[in-house]
Amino acid sequence: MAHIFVNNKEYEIKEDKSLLRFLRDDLHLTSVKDGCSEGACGTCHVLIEGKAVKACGPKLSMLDGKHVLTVEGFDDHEKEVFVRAFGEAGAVQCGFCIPGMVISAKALLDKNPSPTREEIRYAIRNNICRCTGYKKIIDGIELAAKYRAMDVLPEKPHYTWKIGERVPRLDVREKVTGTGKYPDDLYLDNMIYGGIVRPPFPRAKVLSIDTSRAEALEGVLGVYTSKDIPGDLKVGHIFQDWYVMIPVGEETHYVGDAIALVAGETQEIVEKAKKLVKVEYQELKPVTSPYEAMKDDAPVVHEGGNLLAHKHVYRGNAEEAISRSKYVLTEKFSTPYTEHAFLEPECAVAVPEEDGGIHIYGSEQGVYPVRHECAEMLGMPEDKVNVEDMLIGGGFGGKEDASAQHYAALLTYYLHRPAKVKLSRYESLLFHPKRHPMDMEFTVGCDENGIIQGVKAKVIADTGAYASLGGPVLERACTHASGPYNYQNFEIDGYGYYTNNPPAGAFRGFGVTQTCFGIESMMNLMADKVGITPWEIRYRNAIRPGGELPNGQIVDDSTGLAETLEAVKDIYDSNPLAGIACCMKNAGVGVGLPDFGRVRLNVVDGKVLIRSGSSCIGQGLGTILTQIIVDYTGLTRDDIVYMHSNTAKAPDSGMSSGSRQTTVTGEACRRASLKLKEALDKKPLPELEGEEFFGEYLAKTDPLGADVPHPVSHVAYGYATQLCILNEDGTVKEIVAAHDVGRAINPLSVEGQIEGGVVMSLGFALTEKYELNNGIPLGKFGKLGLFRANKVPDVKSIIIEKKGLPISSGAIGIGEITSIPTAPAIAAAYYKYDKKLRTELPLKDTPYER
Amino acid sequence: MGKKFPKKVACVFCTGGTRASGCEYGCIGCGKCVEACRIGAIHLNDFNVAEVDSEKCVNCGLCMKACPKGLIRSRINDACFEPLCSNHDEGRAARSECQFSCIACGSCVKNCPCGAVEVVDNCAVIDDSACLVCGFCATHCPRKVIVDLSGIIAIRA
Repeated sequence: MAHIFVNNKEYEIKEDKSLLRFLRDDLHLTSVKDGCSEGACGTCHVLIEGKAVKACGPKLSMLDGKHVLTVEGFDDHEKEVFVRAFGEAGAVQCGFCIPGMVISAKALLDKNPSPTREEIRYAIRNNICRCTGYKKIIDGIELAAKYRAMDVLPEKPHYTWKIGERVPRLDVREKVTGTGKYPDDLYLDNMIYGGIVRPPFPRAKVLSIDTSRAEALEGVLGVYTSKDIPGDLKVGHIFQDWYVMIPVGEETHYVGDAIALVAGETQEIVEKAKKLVKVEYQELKPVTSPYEAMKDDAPVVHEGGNLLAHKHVYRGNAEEAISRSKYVLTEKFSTPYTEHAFLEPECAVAVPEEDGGIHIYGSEQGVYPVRHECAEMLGMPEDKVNVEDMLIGGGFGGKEDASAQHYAALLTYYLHRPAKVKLSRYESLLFHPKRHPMDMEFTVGCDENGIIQGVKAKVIADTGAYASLGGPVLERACTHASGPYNYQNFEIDGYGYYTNNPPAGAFRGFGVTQTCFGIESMMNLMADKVGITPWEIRYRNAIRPGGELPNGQIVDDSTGLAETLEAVKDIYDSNPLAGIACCMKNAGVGVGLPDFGRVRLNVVDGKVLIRSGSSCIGQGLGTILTQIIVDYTGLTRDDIVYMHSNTAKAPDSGMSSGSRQTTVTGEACRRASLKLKEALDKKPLPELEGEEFFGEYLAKTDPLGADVPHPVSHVAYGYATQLCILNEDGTVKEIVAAHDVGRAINPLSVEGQIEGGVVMSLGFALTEKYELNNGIPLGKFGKLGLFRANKVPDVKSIIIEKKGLPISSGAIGIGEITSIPTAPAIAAAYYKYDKKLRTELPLKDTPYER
Repeated sequence: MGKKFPKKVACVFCTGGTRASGCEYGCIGCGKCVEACRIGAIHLNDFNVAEVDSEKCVNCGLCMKACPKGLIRSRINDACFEPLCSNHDEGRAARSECQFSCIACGSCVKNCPCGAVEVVDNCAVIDDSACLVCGFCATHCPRKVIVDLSGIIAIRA
């Protein structure tokens, strides 16, 4: 009888299956993650006979007699080594890749106890991380090597946990040891599984759906279609245009649509049953570009027309200002669809409540918006549908829309059992909204000193099959297309068209990642024309405190763009192959939209529980909220417990989007903390048992086009300057990123965001492609072109803290801005290298071109 | 880091030997490679096919020069999944010439998550520097030609 050893226990192999499935489903060793099951992501690494192997590859029958080790099987000392090292190095963000990284690290260190940095990078080359940019993971492994060499670990550094300290995050232990749970790690009693049947065609009429053969399969509990939806057939974060399932007689909008939802006792049964659902389609010609969509005779993707939105943003008279400019340049630019590639595919588990309600455990960027979508679909009152975050393995904008939560909820609604719906990696790549491809044209006029007189621009965006956040993305692309410069004649027209491509929506940068590539490239061309350096032209035009942005806003004292430029000047001047770009990015949703931060501090069993309806998607929100409370109340870190966002228990604090949580929820937390402090001045914490302290902050702003002389579009802006320095051989040597964040609540986390955001955009600039063929994505994680640890250049962070923001302890959100100026800085470096103008992403003619 | 990193070793791209029947490409067990090696890192196995000991091999290239059939090339040691075949005949012929021949079915190409495997001249070839070392090519190969040279995953029962 074949057998296998796992964590020193012997198991008979009764049923042949992949090692990954055995470890997770049979043994519940959930540190071993299912990030793709395709061999591409590395989150399922385990040690077999001391070698790091991807568990999704081999079947049990190929491992007869072999010894498998997972993180759960490490001895206590080894666990502690990694918890300490990774925590102190800041290596842990969303945590989904971390157990795999620890495994690869142990495989290396067991054979090579003092590896070079190069050897470490090589050892984790097959572990993809999308959050950290790898730098701090490499630091963590270096530190782990040092700690392993000691018999006894050094005493833990003493942390005060006040604002400004580089504290290890509060969830490092659970993420490193693999005890922390993401929704897919739930194995509940009586739990059923759901799977979605999706169309093979991006545009086809659904003529009939025959579920009878699927329903007849043993172990299938039900097959549901649109007619089974109790409430609204369409959901959507802003526009409710997104069919939960396509009804018979209607058209599909893209290949990520759902036609039927299958429920079964096991995932295996569900996969078999999906194939038995017989759907008749009338294939139609898909609309695959905005240019097709805008034609008069174009097929209509959505009733109401193919134009989702037209944004016309203007101030002063750009046309006139350009016409009287000494230097005028016009250029076209183009950026592609990009995929978030967060390591944790979407997953949700819905559980029936005794009172007839439904509780959903999910992976999302906002529990309240998802609850709203689920409740509308179920036709249930919102207080009967609750959504609670577990650990979330990254989002970057791709988890703002409901993905698996509403399908899981529908199954629980009908079957009254816990129901898990997990998207496969392939489905994830098909389904969630991507970064908008944009074609842009910019015209810039400057005077003889390079001072911008006026900018005129046009943007055409492919917003894909559904609206998602397409409208706001287009708006943000337009408002920020001006660049962080001091001029007042600006005009831009942005058009977002529906097509049958996958939807485009929120993705780190929210439209600015695209238009910044345009305006910053123009600034470099203009510098050449005027005869000054690209650094100089930016320094002359940079917005400074009290200045008026092209959107009319007067910027406050915290405006530190000039300081970010000054911080890189010497490096720029001393590197002939350095490209430069600047940007600004809003923190907080702004433009008059509701933008509330809410935090309630409950004193329970002598501890302060942080309850805020704001999601930590890997950015480290809980840690900084804890630091804020400690700083303002004088309590210690151990007095405080961070609770995951939960509609049943925490007040709505908005989506984790728009770089808003540190600033907006941070301010709400500060207010709650001040109230708690007042109470603590009179009584000690134990005597405040049962009390609660509520803080709320509305980041009040003016809507676009408001009839005021100087609209306040956003309560805060982050500013940045990034440099890309090339080697002689044309590879990237280093990225230098200077970011003004107002106040760094946790500098370790700020650096983590910088390093991660920069590497994400290294990919955007040089290697990443979300391949689409007539509306059908290639859908392979391993072919996205993500940067791996052994190829990533160094990222040097420079944190600038310019005082002046009156709220939130002066802290300005940094979630997105780190990803914005990188691509134009890289394009600029290559322009210096060979004088070729590159106006398309990913950049052509580089050593990275695939 | 220089030429020594990542570690490269020699690899004999053939496994049939006495189990082959009429393959003109494969190892004939002449032993010239064994003679050429100065450190005993290559030997003829039970099937009379040359096999490299990756622990000992230093990638000096002498066996590669000695092989009259050109079967030996360098591989990156960590990229442990390799198709051990050099038969360039098309599928049907290849199938009859050896029970472990590559028949260019393309299953490996299809299952590779990153495009590191290609079929070149009717024979699978892996680009070691692109390989993600997942083993999907090996576990899906119907002929069990692609094997785990680290010996962890037993492809052949």
